[in-house]
Amino acid sequence: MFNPKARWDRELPQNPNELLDEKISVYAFFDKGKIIPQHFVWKNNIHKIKQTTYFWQERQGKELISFFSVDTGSDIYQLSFNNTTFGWRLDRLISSSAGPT
Amino acid sequence: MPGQLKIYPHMFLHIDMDAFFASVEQAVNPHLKGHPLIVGSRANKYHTVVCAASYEAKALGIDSGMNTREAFQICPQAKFVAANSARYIFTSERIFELLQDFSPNLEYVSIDEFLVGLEGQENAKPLEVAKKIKQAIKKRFFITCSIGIAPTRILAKLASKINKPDGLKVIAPADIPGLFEGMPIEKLCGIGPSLKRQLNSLGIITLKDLFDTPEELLSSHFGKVGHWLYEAVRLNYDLPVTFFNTQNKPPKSISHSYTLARETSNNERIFAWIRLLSEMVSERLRRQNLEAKTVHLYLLNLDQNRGFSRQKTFGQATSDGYELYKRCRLILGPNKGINFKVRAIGVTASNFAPIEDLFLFNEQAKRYRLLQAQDSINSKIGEWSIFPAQIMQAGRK
Repeated sequence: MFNPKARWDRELPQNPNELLDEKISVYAFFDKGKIIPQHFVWKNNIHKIKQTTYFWQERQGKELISFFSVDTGSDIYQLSFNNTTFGWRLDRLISSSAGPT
Repeated sequence: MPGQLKIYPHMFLHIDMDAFFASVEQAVNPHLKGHPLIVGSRANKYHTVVCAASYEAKALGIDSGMNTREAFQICPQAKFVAANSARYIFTSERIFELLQDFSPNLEYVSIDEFLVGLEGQENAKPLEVAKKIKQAIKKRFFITCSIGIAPTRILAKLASKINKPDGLKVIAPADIPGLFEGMPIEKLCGIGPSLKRQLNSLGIITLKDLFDTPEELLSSHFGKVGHWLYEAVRLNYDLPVTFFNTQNKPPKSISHSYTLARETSNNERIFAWIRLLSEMVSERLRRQNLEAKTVHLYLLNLDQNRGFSRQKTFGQATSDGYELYKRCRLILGPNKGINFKVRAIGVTASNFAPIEDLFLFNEQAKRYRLLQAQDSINSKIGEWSIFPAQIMQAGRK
């Protein structure tokens, strides 16, 4: 179903395999107003985060979503944290070890 | 008289982010660093426009506004990502916050350009401030900027373009007119393609040529603009500055535009897009408590260079998206269809007045309450949670 909001969801990847959109568990430090994800569990595997490459936030209605692009050494993923529900999601695979997407 | 310069007591720092969207994407995904990178306005890589290109892509001749098909013909191996406006808006707002640590005199020039005034900060050394700003931005956002320092904002902007990327350039009054030697006139903010053509036809190719041209000649050809050009290159004229701490003027116009993935002559779909853009404009009008009397509509076919562009001022101001849409239809001509293929659509509202919620007719008051309820739902649950059904047609192929 068409939703005009899709106009802004331009980051939707052309390759549907990159879109993961799964609820996950994330171990993170909440320190002095900062969220620092350490590792996440996906498909029963622990993925250690070597580096958060970028951070940004977006307000979606009343909810504030914090986004993180994280480098696990082999892949770069996008994680998001909903500041209202306190839930984490694995949004998408940004780049795989095979090289840039 | 040529060569006469006014000495200014303070300096401006013009901060221009280097290939902003592309640099943010390279920070998000470091695998993209060092590659020609195209940031497209939409995810469909062959049916969109380049909204930013990395310096590696720019070096090959790819630049903003170019059709992506054309860009990939130039560089088939270029990397592609779709723009993510939330990332850029967030970063831009945080950079603006960071700049507040350096001066209270700030202007948000655009999403990737900022103006810092050092007025009232006698002890501030512009070059030192600029270096600290560059370091702070790089450390926090992993991206670079170029900074131009000059006694007027026009020249500060010009200076920011000189040593890109990661540049730093000071233009002192004594540098003029020597600096202008060999510098194309279009480098000066305010000289667009049309003015450039006209100046070139008079043999004015460089800023030095412009500096050496008598005011009488410029004024006789370009009127007030000629006088402006004459004074601007002598630092005697500057664009008005509206620093953030004094910024409370309403905007002059509000507009939204969209480039479709493919051209279409399907009138239902085009009208749905006009409705969607009208609703977007009207939502921003209501958020700022404004109503508009003038509506401008444009429909373009980018490939055939064909289009429609017209505006009309109405007696009654409105902030209702449906009313704006109806006015767009009136501008097109009552009961008239669109008989050419359309690729880009834009709706602009201007000529503002504050919203008056005193209504002569009960129907108007009901409509106003309905719009308030719609805005309230969308601000609580998320934008476009509720929208007019006509907009569904915009999603049709």
